[in-house]
Amino acid sequence: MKIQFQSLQDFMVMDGHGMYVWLAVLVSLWVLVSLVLRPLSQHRKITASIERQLQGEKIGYLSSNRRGESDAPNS
Amino acid sequence: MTSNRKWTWFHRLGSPRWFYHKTSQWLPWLSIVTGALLITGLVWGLAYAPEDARQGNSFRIIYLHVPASVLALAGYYVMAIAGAVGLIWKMKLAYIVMRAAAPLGAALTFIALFTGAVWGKPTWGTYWVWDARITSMLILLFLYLGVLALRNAYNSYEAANKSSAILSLVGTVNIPIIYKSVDWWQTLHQPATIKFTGAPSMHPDMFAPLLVMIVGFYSFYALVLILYSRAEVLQREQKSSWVRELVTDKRDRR
Repeated sequence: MKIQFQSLQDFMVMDGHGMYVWLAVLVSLWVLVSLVLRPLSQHRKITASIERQLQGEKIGYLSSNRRGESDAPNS
Repeated sequence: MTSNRKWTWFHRLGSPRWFYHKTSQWLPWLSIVTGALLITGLVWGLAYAPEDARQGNSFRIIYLHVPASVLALAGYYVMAIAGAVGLIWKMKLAYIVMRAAAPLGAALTFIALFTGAVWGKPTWGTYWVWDARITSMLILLFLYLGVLALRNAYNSYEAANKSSAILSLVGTVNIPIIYKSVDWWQTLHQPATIKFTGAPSMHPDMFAPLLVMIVGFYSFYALVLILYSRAEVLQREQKSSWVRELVTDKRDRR
């Protein structure tokens, strides 16, 4: 098994078919990479939103306690 | 009682929580295997495989075109079967997988069509022909886009899932048509490269990297399907205590 091309230039040009081959490769890779990145960013966004929600509940809980009776933490 | 026990695994499989925890362990390995297969297959196919006697170097597009097409079709079965399981057993996870399969399948079908068009220009002298194989693949893209649109078209999550599942099931009619299109109609598209019966119509030096790419695409499919499903699981289960614990644990570890 050996490399079929003499030089990098040769590899890029591919006897005139380079444009087609590399266009297909680049577009495919772009789609594949974005297929991985999209669910990851969705996952991150959802986690962040749940975190914010939890934070909000915590603050709400503390402030409602403070407004209430003396059982609120005095720190 | 025995029938109860027999079905426990099935219900566990349907539990989003169980799925999320299991896939957390699988993801690192699956990512490594996928990356290794795709890089090996692509470099092998683009640089080392011998050039085709008739088509020259343009044939190297096959290393993306065929795997993407194979998974676009196989992925449709995944979506339709998941939809059927959701309809029959009302399994939450099945619908989540069905929803995840739609964008993934649409993207792979797009790759198949795009690489096919780019390959068609130097080989047939045109980017597009309304030939049976290509037209039926375009219909496949529309079916995926249809499910993609339907799954968000309703206010009710359940109604959206049901309609998407039904559309997926009806669309399976198209799959055997795509497979057989090159045999049933006169077409520019070449017949199948890989047959289940008999040897592939390809030299082993060309075929080996193609096989690596197909296995790599299967692995990639599983990886992305899991990633989409996990995001969807979190979204659906955000009110449940296990997700809240998970998020809190993650924050505490930072």
